[in-house]
Amino acid sequence: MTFPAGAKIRADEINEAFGLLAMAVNDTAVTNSTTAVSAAGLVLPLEADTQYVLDGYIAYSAGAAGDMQIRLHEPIGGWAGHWNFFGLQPGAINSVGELNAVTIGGFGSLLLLAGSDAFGGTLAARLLGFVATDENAGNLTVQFAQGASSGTPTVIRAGSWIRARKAS
Amino acid sequence: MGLEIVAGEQASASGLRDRLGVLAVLQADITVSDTSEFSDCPGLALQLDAYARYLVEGHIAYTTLSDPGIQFCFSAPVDATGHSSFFPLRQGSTFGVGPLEAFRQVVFSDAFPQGAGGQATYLLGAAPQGSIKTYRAGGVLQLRFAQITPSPAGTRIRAGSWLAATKVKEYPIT
Repeated sequence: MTFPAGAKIRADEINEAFGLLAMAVNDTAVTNSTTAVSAAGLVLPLEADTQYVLDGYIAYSAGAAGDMQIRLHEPIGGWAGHWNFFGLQPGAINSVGELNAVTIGGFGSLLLLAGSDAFGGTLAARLLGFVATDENAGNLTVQFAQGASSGTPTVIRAGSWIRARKAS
Repeated sequence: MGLEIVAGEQASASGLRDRLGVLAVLQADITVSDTSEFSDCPGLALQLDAYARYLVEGHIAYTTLSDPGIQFCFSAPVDATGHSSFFPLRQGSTFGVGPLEAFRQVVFSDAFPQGAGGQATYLLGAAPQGSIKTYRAGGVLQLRFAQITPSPAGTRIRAGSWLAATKVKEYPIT
């Protein structure tokens, strides 16, 4: 977005330029389930026919048995893009292990990240990505589930955030 | 320490542009093969002002076989100083999983690249971050990449990869 010198700038242009930001104000938990649900508050309403760059921070906790599956979800299926949560590969011990650098193309597949029973399963992942919407506007949503059904909850924590900055 | 739009003063267009920073998104895949010579990744270039400091961030989505792998670096305006890391999967990793490479390069040059692992099946990601300070010459911060060992198998940076630079604070020139 450019701001021509001397031109008046509308509030909506400034808001648009600084992008969209969503932060979870409550925890969302999944227990005994591998069915993906939306993380409360981690939703960005995107415009049609627009490119956005994405980043974010996901604070989560999960047991070593359940781990966490996570994805970005779009409503209809026509958006293009890719994303990565740069988290730990399952099998990590005491929150230390291998980086999962797999980038997911599109918005359907779930990415499996580690859980850990140590220190209450306190972990974090970092979102980076890109989305090009089609003629349909809609909500880009963080969804997650357990990797394997477990009685130890997998929780996306309040304070997690995602951001979309308009690139076109 | 970000640039501020001062309360009570009229915001200028240049002030808003500085506050927002610059952003580049790659619009089409770029492929290299049979070479370990670095080349620009056109489209992933950021125009920087003279005498300015920026934080740099981005997301590089790429595909490459484990051999030849991929290596990244930046070229920068003359006399610019700074440092960066691509936080990639360590060179030689397979299946998109492996140790994190957190080495930080302190020179923007082909001679100081950072290698990354590849895998036949998966799209992979690297997460460049860093900072740069420019002097008398503004110019372009340019992503460059190459295969680690020359191979006919293409090494590709994918459309949708992006770089951003946010101006932090201009500093007094002495």
